[in-house]
Amino acid sequence: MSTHEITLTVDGSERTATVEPRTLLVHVLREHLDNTAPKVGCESGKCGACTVQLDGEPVKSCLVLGVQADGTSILTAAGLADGDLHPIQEAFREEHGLQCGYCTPGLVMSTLDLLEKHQELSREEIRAELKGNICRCTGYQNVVEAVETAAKTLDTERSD
Amino acid sequence: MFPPQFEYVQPDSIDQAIAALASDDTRVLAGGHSLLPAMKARNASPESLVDIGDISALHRIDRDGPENETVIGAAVTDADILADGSLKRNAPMVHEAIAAVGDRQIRSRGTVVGNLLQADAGADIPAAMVAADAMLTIRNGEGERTVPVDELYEDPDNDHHPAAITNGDDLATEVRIPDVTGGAYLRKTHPATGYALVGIAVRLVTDGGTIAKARVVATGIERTPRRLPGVEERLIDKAPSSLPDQTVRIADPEPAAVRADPNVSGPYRHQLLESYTGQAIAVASDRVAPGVVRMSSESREAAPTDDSVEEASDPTRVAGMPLKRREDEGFLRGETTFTDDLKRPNCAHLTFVRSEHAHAAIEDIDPKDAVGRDGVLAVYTWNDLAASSSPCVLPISTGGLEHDVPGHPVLAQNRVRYHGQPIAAVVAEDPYLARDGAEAVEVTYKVREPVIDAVEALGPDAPALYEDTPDNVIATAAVGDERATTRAFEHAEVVVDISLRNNRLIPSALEPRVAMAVYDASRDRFTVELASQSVHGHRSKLAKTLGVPERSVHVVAPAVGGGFGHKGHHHPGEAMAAWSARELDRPIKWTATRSENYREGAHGRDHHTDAELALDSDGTMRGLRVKTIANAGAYGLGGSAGMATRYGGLLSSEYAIPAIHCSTRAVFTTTAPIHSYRGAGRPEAIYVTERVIDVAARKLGIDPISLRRANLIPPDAFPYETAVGVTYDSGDYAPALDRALEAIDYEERRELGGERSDGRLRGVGVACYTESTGGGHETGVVRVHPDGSVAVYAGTHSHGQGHGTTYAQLVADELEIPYEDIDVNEGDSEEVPTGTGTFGSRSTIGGGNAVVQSAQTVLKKARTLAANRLGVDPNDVRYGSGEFFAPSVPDQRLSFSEVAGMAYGWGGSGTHRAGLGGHDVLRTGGDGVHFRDPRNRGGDRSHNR
Ligand SMILES: Cc1cc2nc3c(=O)[nH]c(=O)nc-3n(C[C@H](O)[C@H](O)[C@H](O)COP(=O)(O)OP(=O)(O)OC[C@H]3O[C@@H](n4cnc5c(N)ncnc54)[C@H](O)[C@@H]3O)c2cc1C
Ligand code: FES
Ligand code: FES
Repeated sequence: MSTHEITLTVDGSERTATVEPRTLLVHVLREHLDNTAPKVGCESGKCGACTVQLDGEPVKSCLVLGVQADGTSILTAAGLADGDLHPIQEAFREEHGLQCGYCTPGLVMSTLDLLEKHQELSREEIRAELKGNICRCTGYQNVVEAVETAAKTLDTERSD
Repeated sequence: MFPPQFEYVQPDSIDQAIAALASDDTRVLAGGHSLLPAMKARNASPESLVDIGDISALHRIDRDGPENETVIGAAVTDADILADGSLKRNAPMVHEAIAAVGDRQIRSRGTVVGNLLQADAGADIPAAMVAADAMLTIRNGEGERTVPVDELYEDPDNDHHPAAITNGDDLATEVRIPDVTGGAYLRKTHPATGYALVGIAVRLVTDGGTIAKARVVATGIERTPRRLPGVEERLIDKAPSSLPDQTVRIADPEPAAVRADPNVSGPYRHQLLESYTGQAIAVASDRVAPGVVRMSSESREAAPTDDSVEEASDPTRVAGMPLKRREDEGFLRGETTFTDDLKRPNCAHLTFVRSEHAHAAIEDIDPKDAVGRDGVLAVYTWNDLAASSSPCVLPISTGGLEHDVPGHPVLAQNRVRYHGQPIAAVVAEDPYLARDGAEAVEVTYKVREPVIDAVEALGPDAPALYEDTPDNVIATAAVGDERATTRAFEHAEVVVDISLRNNRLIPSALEPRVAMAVYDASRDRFTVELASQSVHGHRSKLAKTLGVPERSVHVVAPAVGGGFGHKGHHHPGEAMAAWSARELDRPIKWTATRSENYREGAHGRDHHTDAELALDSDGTMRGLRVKTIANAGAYGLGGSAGMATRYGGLLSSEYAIPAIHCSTRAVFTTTAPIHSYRGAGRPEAIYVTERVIDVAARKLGIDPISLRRANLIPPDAFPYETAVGVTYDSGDYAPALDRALEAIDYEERRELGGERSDGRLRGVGVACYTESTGGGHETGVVRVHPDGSVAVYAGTHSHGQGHGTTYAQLVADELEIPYEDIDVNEGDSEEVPTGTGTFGSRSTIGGGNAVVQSAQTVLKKARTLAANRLGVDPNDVRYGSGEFFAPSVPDQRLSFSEVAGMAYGWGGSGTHRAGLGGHDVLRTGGDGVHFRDPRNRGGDRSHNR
C-alpha cells in the first residue's frame, strides 16, 4: 500500500511523518511524533480521551486519519500551557476534577472548545456539552465544578 | 481497532471526485465518522476512499438562491452549519436535530449530508429533513438529479442504504432545506450510547389560525425515519393553542411493532415515542402560535443543593487539609506516563486471535497466511507454549473448591469456553500489522453447546465445561445458623420473599489493560510494566505462569488509568507478552482494545438470589434466608471461583437480624471469568438485604425508612456480633441515616413521587450500607535522606486515589516536617519487597497505617540519635515542630535534618546502624482506626463505619 508524507503543526511546531492512509491521527501523534498527551480509551469515538483541537475544532483523533489532517494545526493538552497551568487546567486541579487522570487531557481539550464558544453555561449544559468525554472515576460532579470555575476565571481575564 | 489497508485520494474538484469514484470498490469519505468506525469493525473494507473534504465547492452554505431555502454542501460539518446559524433562524427543527447529533467532537467532523446518507437507525438528521421536505442533489458521470430526501429511505428493509444512491460514482453534492419555522425536534438520549432512543420531528404549517399541514416523523422506532400519519391527521384543522403538552396516543405503529434492541424493548420505546411526540408537538405549536400560555409538565425542580456538612478539622494537621493533589499537574499537561505511553527500542507488538464462539473444540489453527505477511514476526498457539519451559496456565487457588479444575491457559488448549478466549498470539513490528496478521489466522471450530446462565448450567441437561465437574458446581458454602433461621421462619408472623439478579458487570476503567515486557537473557529476568493495581500480586502470578522464581520477575506499574478490580487480576495478555519477549528477545507491548477488555473479563457479580425475610407484624426483623447461585464464568482466576461463596458476611448490614442463613453455589458457565469488581461481594449482599426490606415495607404498609430505622443495631449493642459471625466494634446508625435523609430532602422528594402528566414515573429509594475494608498485609517504608528530605514507599498503587498526596500528608503529620519535603513512590515490586495492592478500599487503612508506623520507627531512632548528641536519656528527648530537645539542655535544639545527617555522617555514637528509615509490614488491624478480631473470618478483616 502507498504511504503519504504529511505535515502537521503540533502544539506550535511543524512536524512531518510518513504514514499509511489508514494510520489514525491519534497514532500519528502518539507513535510517530511522540506526543502521548491524547490517550486511547476506546478507539471508536466514544470516550473522548483522544480529543485534540484540529484547526481550532475539537476532534476525536481516533476517528480522523493522519492523511485527513495533513496541513492542519493540532493542539493537544501538552501544548495548552508553557509555564503556569492554563486556567482550565488550574480549575480542574483546584476542584479535584480528576482522579486517575486518563480522561483528563481529552476533557481539558473539550472544555477549552466549550469555553471558547460559550461564556454562560448552566450545570446541565456543561454536562450535555461534555458528553463526548467519558470519565470513569469522578462521577463528573467535580468536572462540572471545574468547568464552572474555569469559566469564571476566563471571564475575569477577558474583562480585565 | 484499526482500519484495514486502503488507498486514499483527496481530489479538489467535484469532477475529479466523480472520476475517482468510478473505480471499483471505492467509497466517498466525508467526515468519516460512520465509515471509519465501520471499517474498524470490518463491516466495510473498501479498496479506496475518495476524501471530499478538500473540495471547496462542497463547503458552501448558501441562501442566495431564488427559493426560501438553505443549501448545504456535502462537506459542511454539523458544527459549521450550527455556527453559521442559517438553519437556526430558518428551520429550527433541522437545526435542533443537527445539534442533537453525538457530541461536540463528533459534530465538528461529521457532515450533514453524510448523516443523511448513512441514516443509522436512530440518526437525528434524516427525520428532520424528511419533515422539512428537503431535497438532495446527486451527481455522477452521467449528470445530476435531485431527489426528495424521504425517497432515500423508501425501502426500509434494504440493508444497502441509502436506497436512492444507486451508482458507484454517485456523489451527493448538497441538500436543500426549505424554510420551515413551525417545527421542533426532540429526542430521548440513551445515556451510554448518546444516540437517540427515540427522536421526533414535528413540523406544523398554519393557515388562518389552524393547522393546514403537519409532518410528524420519528427516528429510532424503525430502521429508517418513520412518518406517523395517524398523528398528522389528528392535528389538521386544530388551533395550535388548543394542543396540550401531554402524551399522545399512537396506534400506528403499535408497541409490538416498534424496534427493540439490546438497550430497550419495543413497548418501552413506544412509550417514549408517545411522550416525546406530545412534547415536540407542544414546542412546534408554540413556534407557529407564539405567546400561548400552556401548562408545562416540564416544570423543573430546583436541583438539590449540595450543602454537605463540613467536618471540623484540626488546623495543625496536614491530613484532612483540602490540599490540591500533587499528582494532578502531570495528568493535566498530558505528561504523566501510562503504560501505553512507554516506548522501548526495537519493541514489537502482540495481539490475540480470540474465540468467536462461547463453547467449541478447536479443530485446527492455520496460521500460514499470517506468517508470510509483512512485519509479522511470529504466530504462537498452545503447542508452542506447551513446548516451552513455562506452564503458561494462569494460577488458580483451589482452596474451598470441590473439584480440581485446571486454570485458564494463556492460549486455548484445543477447547474454548468463552467468547473472546485467546486462541493464538501474533507478534509483529507494529500493532496494525499484528492485527492484520491475526485476521489472517484461520481457526476451525467444532461448536459445542454454550451455557450462559448460571441457573441453566445447573440443569440436568446442561453441557459440562469440565469432564470431572459434571454438574458445573465448583464450590458450595454457607454462612450463618441454619437451624436458628428455620426456627425464626416457623414462628414468623409475616414472611416476604424476592428473587433477584445481581447482574453481571464489566469493569471499564478508561485505560484498557496493557503491558510492556522486556527479557534480560543475561540475568534470566523479566521486567514487566503493566497497568496493575497490585505489582506484588502480579509478580507472584506472573512467576507461576512463566515457571520462574519470583526474584526473576520485576513488575512496575506506571500511572494507572483506573482499575475497579480488573487490573488486580492476572490475564493472558501480560503473560503472553513476557513469554514472547523471552522467545523473540525483544521488548513486547500488548494493548487491549476496548472490546477485548470487555470480552476477556474478569467481569463482576452475576448472582441469582432468592431471599426471604421473616418479621413480626410490627416490622421487627426475625430472620433472613438467602440462597444464591453465582456465575463463576468459564475459568477460575486466582481465588475467583470460590470468592462468591464468602459474600454472605455482610447480609446483616446495619440491622439487628437475630438469625441469618445464606447458602451459595458457584457455577461454571461458558462466559468470561468473574472476579472481584468494585466492592466484590459487598454491594451484592447489601442489595439483597435492602431489596427484601423494601418489599417487606410495602407488604406491611410501613414507610421503608421507618422499617429500617426500627431495626438498626442500637448504639448500646456494640460490640455486636451479627448472625453471620462478624463482629462490629461500634456504630451509631440512626444519626447517619437522619443526615442522609436531610441531605437529599427525603420528605420533599417523596411528595414529588408518582406519575406525571407526560407519562414519566418518579420515586425515591434509600439504601443503607456497611462496609468491610482493609484486608491483607501492607508494606510502608519511610527513608530519610541525609538532608532530612523523605522518600515514602508503599506496596499499594494509586490508580486515581491520590496516595502521593495522602501518604505525604500522613507522614508530614507524624514527622512534623513540611509536606513538601516528602516524596511518595509506589508501583514497583523492587522498591518494597512485598505488598498487597490497591483494591477493596484498603490503601489508606493498610498502606497509610504502614507508612505511619514506619514514620514512628524513624522518630524513635532519631530520638535515640538526638539523645546521644544531647547527652541525655532517649526518654527525656522531646520532639516538636521538627526539632528535638531536652528540658535538661535548654539551649540546644536539633532539627530533623540535622539528626538525619548524623544518622549517615561521621561521628555517630557507633552503637547505631547507619541510616534513618522505617520499614513496616503491617497486618491490618491493631490501632485506633480499626480493630482486629480473630473471630472475623481469618482474623485480618476490619470493619469501620
Ligand atoms: C461516537 C459517535 C456518536 C454518534 N452519535 C450520533 C448521533 O447521536 N446521532 C446521529 O445522527 N449520528 C451520530 N453519529 C454518526 C455521525 O453523525 C456520522 O458522522 C454521520 O452519520 C456520517 O457523517 P460523516 O460525514 O461522518 O460520513 P462518512 O462516515 O464519511 O460517510 C458515511 C457514509 O455515507 C457515504 N457518503 C458520505 N458523504 C457522501 C456523499 N457526499 N456522497 C455519497 N456518499 C457519501 C460514505 O461513503 C459512507 O458510506 C455518531 C458517530 C459517532 C462516531
Ligand atoms: S479513543 Fe478516541 S474517542 Fe475513545
Ligand atoms: S479521572 Fe479516571 S477516567 Fe477520568
